[in-house]
Amino acid sequence: MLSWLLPVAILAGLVAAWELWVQLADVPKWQLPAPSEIAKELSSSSDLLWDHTLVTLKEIVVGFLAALIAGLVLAGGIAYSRVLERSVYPIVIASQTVPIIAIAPLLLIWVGYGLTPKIIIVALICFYPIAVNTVDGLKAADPDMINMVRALGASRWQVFTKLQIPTALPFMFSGIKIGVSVSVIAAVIGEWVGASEGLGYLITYSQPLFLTARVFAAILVLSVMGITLFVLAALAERMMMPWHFSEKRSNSMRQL
Amino acid sequence: MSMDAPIRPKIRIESVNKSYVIDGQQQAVLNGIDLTVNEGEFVSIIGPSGCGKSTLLNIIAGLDQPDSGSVELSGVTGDAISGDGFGGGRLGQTGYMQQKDLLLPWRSVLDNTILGLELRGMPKRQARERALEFTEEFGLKGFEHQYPYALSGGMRQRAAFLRTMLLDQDVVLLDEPFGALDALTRVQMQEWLLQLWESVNKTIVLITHDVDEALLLSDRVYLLTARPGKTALALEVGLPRPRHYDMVTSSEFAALKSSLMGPLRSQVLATRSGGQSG
Ligand SMILES: Nc1ncnc2c1ncn2[C@@H]1O[C@H](COP(=O)(O)OP(=O)(O)OP(=O)(O)O)[C@@H](O)[C@H]1O
Ligand SMILES: [Mg+2]
Repeated sequence: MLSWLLPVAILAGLVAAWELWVQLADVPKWQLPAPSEIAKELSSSSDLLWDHTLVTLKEIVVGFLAALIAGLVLAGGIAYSRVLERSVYPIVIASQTVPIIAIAPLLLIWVGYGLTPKIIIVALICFYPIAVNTVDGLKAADPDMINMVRALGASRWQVFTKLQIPTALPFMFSGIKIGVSVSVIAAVIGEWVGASEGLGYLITYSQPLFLTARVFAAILVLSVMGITLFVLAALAERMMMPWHFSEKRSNSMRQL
Repeated sequence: MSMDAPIRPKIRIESVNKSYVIDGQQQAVLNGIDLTVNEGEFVSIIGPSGCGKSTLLNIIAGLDQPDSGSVELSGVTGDAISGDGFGGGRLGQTGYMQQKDLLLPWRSVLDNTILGLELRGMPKRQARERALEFTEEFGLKGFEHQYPYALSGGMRQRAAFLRTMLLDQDVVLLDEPFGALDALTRVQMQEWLLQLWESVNKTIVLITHDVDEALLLSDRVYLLTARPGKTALALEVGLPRPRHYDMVTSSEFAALKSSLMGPLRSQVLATRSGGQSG
């Protein structure tokens, strides 16, 4: 119960210490603004922040959804077909070693400025955890369960839909939660490489002007965005797998 | 069964061999096993743990392929497995209740029981209506919409049992169906299975470790040897039908029991000594 109380208290303590330190040590505003200063900035530039938030959010949502669809389709194919598993899966895994940050400037050359390169970067970064976790999940079906449905006369496709897909859901959601967490970073990287709007752009634009409070305000909005997306993913998980959570609650109330 | 019905073999197993890689080496699990179950018969298989009882049922159900020997089901001899190993062969031709209940955790009890009907293409609603007619008889009433984790072991087994029986197959294979039940419920379930079988003319093969259970329910009891399993004894149980639990105290029953217990004990001992060397 009240498990959120402790982290909130710790956070409040840290913010208070920060405020106190900045005030007492008289740290210049451009170097480290006090939390109160950042709050002031949040309200005075709220329109500006909101406009840039919408841009970044759009990059994240579109990129994430593209990664989700591509990741699930590919994972399904890899789990269903030996040929795809042997041919495509190693490439998917190897692709993770390609530094996507290094590709970002190239994307500008290939697809130009605008939202597209950012969406591609978000999609590339989210794709991997979703695809790999879902492949693992699709392959995690209990062999005894597979035999049980086979004995009932199930076809290969029925085993896939009635057994493998439900088994994969918890794995898929782990991938999705990792994906949404890194999607915010991905969008910011995309904007740093070259953009004229978005919160990442706002940060790179404000920093040389020593608008440090605004940089912090943008970072804060990005964090809130990331947390919100994560919570939404966790809510979707709960809605799609009610058995998973009631089972956990009854089996191991306080263990994990 | 009535005397005038023609006797037709429903399951005929002849010199079936099967080996698996166990502890890194190829080991025979079934060693030339012979067994026949006639139409409408109730046959039990008893034998030491690990002697290949479940393997035998897997082969009959079409999940696994024997290395050699022949298996005939309902007059059809053939490969257990065809094509990709899903569907075809003997798969889906028997009602097979495995040793574990294997309920799908994401499905309610009711939706678990209709799985077989659903795989056959029956619409969910219709399948659920059919299942609901039986939940009371199978002791699942009031739990239809629970998830399996909320059920007792006995209830889970009854849900798996209903899943098997809803398909209404002629041949039913039961791998220790009452293993998770306490003695009292076990007796209830045995009597209930007796009634069920006497009323529906199904061919049933039951695996059990319980000698009383085997004798009370069966027309014939097969005793398997320690691994590698082969038929050590086929005991005709001539007790009159319909049977009732009170019969376990009769002298006939006691005589049958002693003729089964001796050989069973020596097979179990053989497993123990084999286990020590392995
Ligand atoms: N798919 C398999 N792969 C490898 N070994 C197997 C496989 N299936 C069964 N075995 C082995 O074959 C032997 C017989 O197993 P089986 O489950 O048929 O025994 P059982 O008579 O049903 O035992 P119990 O009474 O304990 O259920 C065991 O040693 C088991 O480990
Ligand atoms: Mg077994």
